[in-house]
Amino acid sequence: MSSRKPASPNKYLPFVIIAVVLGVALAGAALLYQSSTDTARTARLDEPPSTAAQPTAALPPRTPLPGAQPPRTRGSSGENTATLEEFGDFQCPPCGAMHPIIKAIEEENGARLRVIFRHLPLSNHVHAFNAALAAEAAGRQNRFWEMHDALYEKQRSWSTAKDARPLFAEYARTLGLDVTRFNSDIKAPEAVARVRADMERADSLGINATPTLLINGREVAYSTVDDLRARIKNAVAAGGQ
Amino acid sequence: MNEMFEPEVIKVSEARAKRSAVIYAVAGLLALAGLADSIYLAIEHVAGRDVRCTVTTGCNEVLDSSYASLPGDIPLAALGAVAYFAAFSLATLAAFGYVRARPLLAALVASMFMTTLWLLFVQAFVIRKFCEFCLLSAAMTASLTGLIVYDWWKRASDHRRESSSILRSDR
Repeated sequence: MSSRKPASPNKYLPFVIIAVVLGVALAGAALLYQSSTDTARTARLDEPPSTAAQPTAALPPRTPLPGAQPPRTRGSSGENTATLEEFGDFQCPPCGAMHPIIKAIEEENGARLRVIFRHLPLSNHVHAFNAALAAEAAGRQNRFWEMHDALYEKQRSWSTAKDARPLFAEYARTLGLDVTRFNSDIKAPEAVARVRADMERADSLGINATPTLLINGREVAYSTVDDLRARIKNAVAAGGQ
Repeated sequence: MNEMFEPEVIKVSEARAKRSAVIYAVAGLLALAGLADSIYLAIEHVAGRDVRCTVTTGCNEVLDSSYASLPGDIPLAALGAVAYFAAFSLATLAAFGYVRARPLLAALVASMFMTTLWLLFVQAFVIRKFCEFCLLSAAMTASLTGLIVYDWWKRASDHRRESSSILRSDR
């Protein structure tokens, strides 16, 4: 690097230090990523928690709650259909990133895959609960999925707004909804109850991160998009078993 | 230069080299702390986990905002990690006497400092929330800037003193 002779007797030492730090940084990043994904996606969720995972073993295992009924479903409801259930938060960026992936997977599998969306607005996302209510309000005019898609696609616009509700009303107008009814439905106790029911289902399953995906009631511990795609394909091939 | 002064000059230049080595070693440690902070934020962003604040209250508002990502949903913290690693490398080289690493490090730290000022402005006046991990990174960059400025100032004053003593000895 320099024409001047370095002060150190060992001219290779700084390069060794830099290489060691690079190695440690990369290994640390990989370990951190591994532990992050492991915490978020573990264990089968349709079984009671193990005593090892739950120190409060004296408490009876929690029964999974059903969530809002009927669920917000897209796709076929035939018997040999695999079910992909997503617990999502409209303001969570990874959920927004997952949205086009799930849409592509839906298209790939056609009528053999049913998709259920469950609300899990996280408390630290200031507009997430209102976004869930906006989707439910659109659902009362049979436009849940259109609003669902719009919320994810325009996530960056409304997430940073001081008040996102005018933007939700604008999306409702764009979707051709009755905006007066939409503005009334967004405050309706029924919409709140549906969102709460989905959140209670998440809680009963021990889900606290978004997006969390379940295939036929079992959490998917995927590592990459291709891995997720393959697991869904296997579930579809097994005919929803 | 008069040969009579040579042992003294050597002693002074050794002391200066030692001072510079200490300054750049501290800069390297600060860059390491910034690197750890940036890697943590970048990984949490990629893994889709929420970062919990313990001192401030706006971690998610800041880190989920559009200002925290580059096009392609690349976390800004990843760019920070690259910058801190580069700063660490240059500071290590400078600490070991590679003098050409100094201006490169100064230029890098200057650009990091400007970016930090912009991000502080965004947190204070656009999002109106602060993320403690971002503030920690800002503190690291500000300290790095302070060290670099201090080193340059000390070397400039040494140079001035040296020039005036040469003038006096030549009389």
